[in-house]
Amino acid sequence: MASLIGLRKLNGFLRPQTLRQCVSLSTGNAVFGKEPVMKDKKYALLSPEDMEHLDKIKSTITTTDPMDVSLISGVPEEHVKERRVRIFASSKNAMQSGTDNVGIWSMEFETRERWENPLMGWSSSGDPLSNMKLEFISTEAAIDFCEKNGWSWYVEKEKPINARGKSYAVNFAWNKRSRVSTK
Amino acid sequence: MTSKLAKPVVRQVKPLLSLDKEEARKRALNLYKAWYRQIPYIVRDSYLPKSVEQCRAKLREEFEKHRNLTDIRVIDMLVIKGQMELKSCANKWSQSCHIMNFFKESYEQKPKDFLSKFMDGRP
Repeated sequence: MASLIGLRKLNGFLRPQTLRQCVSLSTGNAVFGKEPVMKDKKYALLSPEDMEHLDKIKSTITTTDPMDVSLISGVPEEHVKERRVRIFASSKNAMQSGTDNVGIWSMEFETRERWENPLMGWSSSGDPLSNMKLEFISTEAAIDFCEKNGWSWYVEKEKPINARGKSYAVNFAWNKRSRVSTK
Repeated sequence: MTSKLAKPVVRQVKPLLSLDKEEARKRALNLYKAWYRQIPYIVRDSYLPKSVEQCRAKLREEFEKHRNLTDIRVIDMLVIKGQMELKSCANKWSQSCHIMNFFKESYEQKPKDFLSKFMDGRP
């Protein structure tokens, strides 16, 4: 904008060449030669091959190997090789939630040594995985997780729920012996 | 029972460092060489109660343990971890007791017969 104002002021005694420069200035074209290209310092010193590798690493590679994180998860070898996982269907809640939370599969590790604390009588355990209880939507998901972590596992068969028909009205049925007289 | 992840299925995954097996192998070899060259200094500087040969045998053993790995990403991750270990040994962030942990068996067989169970103190 400043150059435009300057242009109007100096219009009378400027040579056409300088005028053109001023015009190009006002439109923002480069007049004073090429600007240096800004480079990210992270990539400035990389060779073309390294740059290519960096590009490729952002894409994906094809693999057929089964997923196994037991070597890199940081879990001590003892807790990978010695542990056995029980996969079982969670039991129905005996309170009023009905069958709401049925159909969830849980996994648990086998119980290890537990003892009673001699001072307070609390129960103790040296097992870091004793309280790890995870829930899954299906057995497959649970098995996948165990396989991924290198644990041996077994699936406990789901017990079918034999739902007994319950009705409050039966207590007062006219044709059943369930009606209890107050007298 | 069918599990998806545990079975060999062709899938696309994000690489960590290497794009193919050859590259991963090179990285592993590089790490091995770096350890091999650093071991004399580590033994000398941390006053390890082991000889250079013993440490090199241990190094070899650690690498041989994962000889049959094929998953590029796992290899890469192990290389990264090995590099970190090497750095902490070389910079003396790990003291000799930490380095001696490499010589400790991490996996103990459960005692089988009665007497060894008794001696072990396990129920």
